[in-house]
Amino acid sequence: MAFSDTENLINLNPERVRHRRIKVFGLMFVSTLLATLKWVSSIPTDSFWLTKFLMTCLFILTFGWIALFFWSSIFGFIELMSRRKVPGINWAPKDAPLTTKTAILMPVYNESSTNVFANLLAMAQSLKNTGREKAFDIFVLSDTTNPKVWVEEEKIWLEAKKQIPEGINLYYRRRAKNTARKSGNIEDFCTKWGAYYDFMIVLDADSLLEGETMVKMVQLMQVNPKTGIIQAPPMCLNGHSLFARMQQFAGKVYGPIVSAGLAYWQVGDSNYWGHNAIIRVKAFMACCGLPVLKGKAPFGGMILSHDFVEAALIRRGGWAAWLLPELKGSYEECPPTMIDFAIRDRRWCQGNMQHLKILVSKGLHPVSRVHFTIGVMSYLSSPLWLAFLVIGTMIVLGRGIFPPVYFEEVRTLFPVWPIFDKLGTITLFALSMFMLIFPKFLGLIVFLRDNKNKRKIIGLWSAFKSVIAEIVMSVLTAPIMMMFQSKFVFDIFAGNSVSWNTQNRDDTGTSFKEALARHFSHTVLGIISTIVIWFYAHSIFWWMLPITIGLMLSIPISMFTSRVKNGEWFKKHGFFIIPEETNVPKILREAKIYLKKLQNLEPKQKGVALLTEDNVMNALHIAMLQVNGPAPDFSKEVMQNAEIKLENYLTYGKEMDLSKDEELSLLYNPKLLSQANVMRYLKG
Amino acid sequence: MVALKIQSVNDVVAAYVQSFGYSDAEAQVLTAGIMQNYAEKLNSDDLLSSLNEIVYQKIKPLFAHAKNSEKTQNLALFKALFLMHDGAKICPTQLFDDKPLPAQLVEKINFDELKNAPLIKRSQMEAQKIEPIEFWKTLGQLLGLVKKG
Repeated sequence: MAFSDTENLINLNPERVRHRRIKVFGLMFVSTLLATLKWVSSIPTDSFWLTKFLMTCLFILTFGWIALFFWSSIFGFIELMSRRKVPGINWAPKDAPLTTKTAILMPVYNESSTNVFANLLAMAQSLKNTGREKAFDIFVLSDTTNPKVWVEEEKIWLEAKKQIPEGINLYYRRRAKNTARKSGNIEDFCTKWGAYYDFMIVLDADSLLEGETMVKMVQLMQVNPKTGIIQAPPMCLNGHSLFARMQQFAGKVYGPIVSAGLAYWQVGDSNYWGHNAIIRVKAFMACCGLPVLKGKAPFGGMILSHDFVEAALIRRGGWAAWLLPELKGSYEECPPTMIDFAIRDRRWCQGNMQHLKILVSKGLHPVSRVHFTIGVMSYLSSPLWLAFLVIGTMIVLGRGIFPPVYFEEVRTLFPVWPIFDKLGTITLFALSMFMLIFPKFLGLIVFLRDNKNKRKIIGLWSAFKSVIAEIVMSVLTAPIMMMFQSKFVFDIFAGNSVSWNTQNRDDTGTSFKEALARHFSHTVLGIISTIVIWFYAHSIFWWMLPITIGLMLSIPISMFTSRVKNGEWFKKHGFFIIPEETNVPKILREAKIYLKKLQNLEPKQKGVALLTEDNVMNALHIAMLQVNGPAPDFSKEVMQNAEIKLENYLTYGKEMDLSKDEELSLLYNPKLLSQANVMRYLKG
Repeated sequence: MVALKIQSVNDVVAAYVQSFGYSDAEAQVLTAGIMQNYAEKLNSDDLLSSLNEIVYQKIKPLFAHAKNSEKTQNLALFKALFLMHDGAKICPTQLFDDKPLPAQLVEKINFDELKNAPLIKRSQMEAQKIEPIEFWKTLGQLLGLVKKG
């Protein structure tokens, strides 16, 4: 199957699309070429040819990566300053009627039920405020495996149903087997209920979308019948720890030019980030059934990062995909700590590495291949940088241990001076730094322009010093993330697969024990390399210090940035403030109100214990089993043990102490559950 | 459950009635009625199933239009709604005697209130082919050595 030409899908002259891509990638290639020529002439002339070759290859890859980011940001900046909308898509009038039906999908996996439903209630209320709520249904698609969380989800669903504004259906179903994780969860929805809906808005457990944004997304889908996906770039919000606040500041200030830059050259061939996006159900069902890849994990097996693949497949199937920075009111939460960030990265890393295999598959649009390459490079760039640094350091170390030979065996009149263009190297270093840092200041200009009327909240100085502080912190944390990501990549290439864990979203902070366990190797590496460089490669000591210091201080940095009180201290002193922190969006305020209400209703009993005590929940759970699908198989031993433990609990008040499987087997047994509920009246 | 089997029939019936939200005293009265009216229908080996059947027969008309649902689920759904709407107060005896259910209760039992998903309407989603590019063939095509198609 081959992709359709972009010109058939979007309302824009294909020449213009081509020009945009030639400009961004042309400038990337030219700047990389010039920098590489300078680099080649800067390498010491007496270096071994293989070293020269390796260093040049690594330089091309790493510099090219920076150059793409830089030029994409420059064009994003120009687009934002000229206040141009993404061309090629038809914009619907604000009052255009909704003639279609949309399902809002919230896939969950052992998440906090109260948080999930509070966010959904706030979104429902926001939709109600638009007066278009009848065009939407909400589905909570649970893949939860923890039996206690399962029962809690049902309880909170019931409470949320009582509070949801009239006119919006709030559905809940749990899958017995979570085949293919999130993508399988969505696929299960599509095959069971997809026929009822024109579009689906896919969320993440921490997503928040304003009602107006959702309405606008539907209107856009209605007037662009060849569009398969529209991605609303999510903004990080509700962070309290220093790490989360820095991320949300970076997202707010630099995010727009990055998104606008991507939208500039991607146009109708954009990507999908897995959530806060609207998808045409018909297109998705026709194009996005994911196969199991040949071979073993981590490269074969089930597709992990399904979003990029779905975007590529939908594009291959002849539908446009858009990233629209104009869509505001799309929020998510940032991981609260560096370790949580790294854990999430580990999962994403494996998914992206798997794309190496898909990248070269038949029929994909070239831009889809670029998306996969960008995803791969997001992680592969770390080991490449590491290799670059290690080889560079080795060269200097070698020079310290084996001094240059000035007089070779053949007698010459003059010594052979090895030529090393120090100025050239410094120039390239400065250029790389400029290309990394300059877009941040461009982002700051757009941020200040767009928030002119909020100067009382974010003054010029406050924003400027926050950017400087963010750069300092990025410099310190970059080597730590480089080490994390390098390890992930090596692990994956070594064939170690990743399990599916729930993402931590709590502000509990990183303990010393946890920081030590995660960063011990970074600290040791930092100390050893500092000592070695000081004694044997002193000439590069100061150049390497930003890297070595970050590694040496990884434990305190990780702990310090994870603390909420440090986040608050920085806030009090005017750092990393975004307007949404002071003028909290209504939807987030409402989500917090709903959260309090639902938390008050959280049952003290959990799991089977709750179902024996609460008659309504007992009956409701049994009634809902049908939609959840057939029970999985449990061994006889598990079922017998579970029954004995339940009976001892009911008869003698003994702690149930059920294993996960035992509790699940009871939850799938309506007869035992109803008997247990009746037995509570026999206790006396 | 063994503990259920060793209880007297009266106690189990009373406990069952209480699980519908009736008080201890109300349950005693209702139990006497059940023992009198349905004695022959009560299977002492599986009392709860017999009691469920009695209730189900009573509420069956409420599910006349229900599609694709099972007895256990329907009964559970009814019980949940009965409890949520304080059915024990609206319907003091009718659930377990031969009189029809009070209209007020029937009105309140709206199954959509607890509908956790629309009716399933199956459609197919075929797994897509993701096949690697045949490198030599593609190269041949690029060089014009192999015809496209």
